Amino acid sequence: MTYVQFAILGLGAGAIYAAVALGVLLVHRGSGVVNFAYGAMAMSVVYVYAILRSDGNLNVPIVGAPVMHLGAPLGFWPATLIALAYAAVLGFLCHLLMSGPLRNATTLARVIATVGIMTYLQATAALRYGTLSTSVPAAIPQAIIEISGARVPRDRIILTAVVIGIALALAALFKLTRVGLAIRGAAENEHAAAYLGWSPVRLSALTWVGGTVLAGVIAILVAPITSLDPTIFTLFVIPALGAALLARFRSFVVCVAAGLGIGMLQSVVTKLSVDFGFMRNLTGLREGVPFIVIVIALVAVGASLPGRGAMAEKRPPPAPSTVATFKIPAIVSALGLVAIIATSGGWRYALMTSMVTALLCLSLVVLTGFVGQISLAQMTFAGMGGFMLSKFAEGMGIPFPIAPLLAALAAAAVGFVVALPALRVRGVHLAIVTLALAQGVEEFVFKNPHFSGGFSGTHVPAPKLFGLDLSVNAKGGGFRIAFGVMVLIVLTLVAVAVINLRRSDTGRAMLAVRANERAAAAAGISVVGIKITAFTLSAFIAGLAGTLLAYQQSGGNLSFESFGVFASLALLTSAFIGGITTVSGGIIGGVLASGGLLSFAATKWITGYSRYELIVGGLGLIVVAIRQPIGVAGEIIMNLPKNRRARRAEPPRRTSASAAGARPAVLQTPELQGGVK
Amino acid sequence: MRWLAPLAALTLLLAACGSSKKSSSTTTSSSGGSVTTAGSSGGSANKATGSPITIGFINQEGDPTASYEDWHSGADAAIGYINNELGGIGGHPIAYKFCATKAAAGGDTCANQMVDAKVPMVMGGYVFNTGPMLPLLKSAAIPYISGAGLISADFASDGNHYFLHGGSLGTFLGVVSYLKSSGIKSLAILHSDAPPGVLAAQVVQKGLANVKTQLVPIPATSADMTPIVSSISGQPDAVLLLQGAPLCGSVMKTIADLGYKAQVIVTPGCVAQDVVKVAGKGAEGVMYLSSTTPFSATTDPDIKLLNDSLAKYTSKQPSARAVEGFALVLAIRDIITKAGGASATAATINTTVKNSKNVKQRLAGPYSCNPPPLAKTPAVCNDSVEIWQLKGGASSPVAGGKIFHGADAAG
Repeated sequence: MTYVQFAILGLGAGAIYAAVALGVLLVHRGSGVVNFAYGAMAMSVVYVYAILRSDGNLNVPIVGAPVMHLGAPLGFWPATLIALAYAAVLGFLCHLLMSGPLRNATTLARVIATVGIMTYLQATAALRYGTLSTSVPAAIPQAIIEISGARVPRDRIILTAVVIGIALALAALFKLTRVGLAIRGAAENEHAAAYLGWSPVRLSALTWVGGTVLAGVIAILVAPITSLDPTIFTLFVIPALGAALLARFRSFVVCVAAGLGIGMLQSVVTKLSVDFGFMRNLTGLREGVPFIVIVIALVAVGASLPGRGAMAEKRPPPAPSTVATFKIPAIVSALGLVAIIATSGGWRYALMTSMVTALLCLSLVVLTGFVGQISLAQMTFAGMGGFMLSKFAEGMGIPFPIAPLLAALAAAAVGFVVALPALRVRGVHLAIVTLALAQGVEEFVFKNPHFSGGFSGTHVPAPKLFGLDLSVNAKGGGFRIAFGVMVLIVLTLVAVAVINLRRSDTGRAMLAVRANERAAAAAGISVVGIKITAFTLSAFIAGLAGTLLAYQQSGGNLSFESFGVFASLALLTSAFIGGITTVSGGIIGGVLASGGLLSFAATKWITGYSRYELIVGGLGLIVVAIRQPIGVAGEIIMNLPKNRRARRAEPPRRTSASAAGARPAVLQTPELQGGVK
Repeated sequence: MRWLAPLAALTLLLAACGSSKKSSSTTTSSSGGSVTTAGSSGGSANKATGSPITIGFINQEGDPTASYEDWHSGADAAIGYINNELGGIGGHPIAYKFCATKAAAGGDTCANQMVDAKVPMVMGGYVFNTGPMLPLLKSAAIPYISGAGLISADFASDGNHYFLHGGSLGTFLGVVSYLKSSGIKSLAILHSDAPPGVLAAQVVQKGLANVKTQLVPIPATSADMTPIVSSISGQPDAVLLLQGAPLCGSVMKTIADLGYKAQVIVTPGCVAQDVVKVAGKGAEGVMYLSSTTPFSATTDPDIKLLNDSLAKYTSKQPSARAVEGFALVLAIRDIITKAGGASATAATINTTVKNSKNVKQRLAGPYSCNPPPLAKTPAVCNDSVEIWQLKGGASSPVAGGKIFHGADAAG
């Protein structure tokens, strides 16, 4: 078969990406939010549909909700209508979240809220529906047709036509109707649209509900083609975002064309890797296509991506400087040392895990807390550290303290490379790039047997310094104190370095870049330099943590899943709940993380906790997003007596919204009610 | 060392493969981190009433990417049967302390809990995160006994862990052995693109030197199988599918839709009820390997026992993994009995398994850990596999029920 025929075969996957992209674009144009949870929301709707059809039960993904028995299995139309009603409710709830507590939140808060929704929906689906494949009855009748010699299942072609039709309808809606015009207007300037009588809040509700119902329709049509499990749709968001980026988050028609194109390109790459022997070793190339597309899209159109004339954006979360002395770090380290010695067995191991994860959280503090760069791929850097350690220490025989440092430097080099596209994009677009990077590297690098050492696996020799054995497993059982002390020393040094960074000129420059890049540039700060420094430093710390993870799992083998997309999102969850802007937040994040102290204790004392861990994490992220993402640490700091007193003494802050308070009341009501009377 | 790759591959595939009917109702957590005496329904032959013998039990559950609650159900069914109808172990009921792992995490946490609980042994279901787990159990000298090894960390022996079913290496090489004997001339191997899958496919290819083979990788996040299946050129005699559920369902369906007439051979998880539903007519006539008796062999008396026990003690559905759980618990009962029953210790249990030779077990071929059937993977104690065929919803043995041994192909 020829490449053209393979391109046609790629229409099936392409239609799926295009459909998801359409929904993401619709929600974005209407509300300004990039919904990373779009795939997960589609998944939950189709599960509801599938269970209605197979068992006649209404089983919604809310923990503790009863399963309603509606009688016999339902037919296509009743099941679809009920599932779409659920979709509408789900979309409306998201709208309430985004337009209510998160109305004026920072982009960062919105991104993590959607990540929280995604985590919650996936984990609840796993709990209520199981994780095994579910068959979804076909909505489009099946048959095989021939197109220029290629045998194509007819439903793919019908799906492609449906998706193109939806795109054209949406494009017409936006161009020709008043509602569409109002949505476009609100995207340009919410104030102006409000003055003209259109409530941006109501328009946002419309697009959220419409977008989620569209997600449900797509998923019901598509699920018979793919298989259905809690996570498969989530990952379709990545190529979908690539398509939306290529369409500059603006044109529905270009978006669909791009989605179809990505699918067709992947299919052609499949044929290439079967035809050409050398390509067979490039496993994951096909999966890397969306990432490459995204990078190209950003390079080509990055500068002209539309912003949004929002009404008011809150100030970024405060990143308070810590005290001038080394008193607190010294006390905490001493406590840590006592804890290592006093605990044993499982508790000691959980403590070590908490310390390594705290280090990973610190890397996020530098990147996201100080400089405001959203990274959904932090574990990728850790993975580079871990795998390169194996290459250096086991493969090349480089001795202990040098091998992990070299591995961390290798990770830092990757961080430097990732910084380059980051220079052209910011906010949510950067989040998209890093998400695609996480998947691309997991598929293309970590899964590649040549890199990961094939089967004998990725082994790491025990660290020894001057004859002192620092490996984690003590002879005769238990865990070595020396390993714990080594991790504690690394953590303390990095924490002190980060504290000093925060108090230095560079740290202040970082916060300035976070608050307002143009103003920082006007003040003479090199934005490019700061961003590159942030990514490189953050990747170095994460790489170092990756080497410690590798040592901690000594005797085992590193696996690509430990450093993939879902691992990165889990780390993000812990880091944000702990507190992304302070070192103490990073430490708390480590305590909260899965496998750490809190998780160990909870698993011991609460039966079945591990099934609910991710659900709690997802909800926690949403709560953190609402309460400004300062996390647990931030709440504690804000409520310290001296800070409370300081806040009471402060004059009320004037934001841009209240600066307009001098104008007559009638012009202020649009923000609340959506109409000028 | 070359064979490690395929082992890992196969095991990964088999493990990922084994699936069962979804439990669609809200699951109540059977036991997380606390001691449980499973099942108790009244009125059976021989109820155990002594003090419980508590072992550790680790299984991968609650992970959105893959969870194996059905293995757990099989184990619960066996424990219910043993405690209520066989008098437990010498009058003592079996209980377990349970801990769930995720695909890439939790192995160390769970191992630590078992060490803290000082259990005499740990039973493993499907656990992908054995990497950090096994060294911890080894350093506490608590033996780990499971059915199918899944990843490369499992196969090397540390004298402390054992796999009693031929699930891993055995099945994989058993397939090569069967294919050699079947006389096919051309074969397409569709394999998972994760490293184990790639290497497994390459080893099968090398093992079938006289057969014209083509390798087609299946990416894990494929949205549509059509381009991938269409990469098969020509009409090969057979298609070997080294890919687990849920993707293998879509692949089987697409193979049938696109009109390939080849004999399709799959791994056991791909004939689970829900995968068969997804595959539709693609599942009809499919052959599969199994190291344990397939759950669809409903006339087999042991399968009947499994189904009865599942209904009596768990109200869960049968599946391939439930068979494995059931079989392993029965085998472990025999091991603990031989190791001293209620006074068995970690050391006696370890010695008993380590020295086992041709020990019969129900629902699977006999196992030998001394010496293990394949010298290169000493932790795997079983290399036997049967080939079955699914027709009209029921399975019947192929090749007259001949047992294929991985060792025959390893040469």
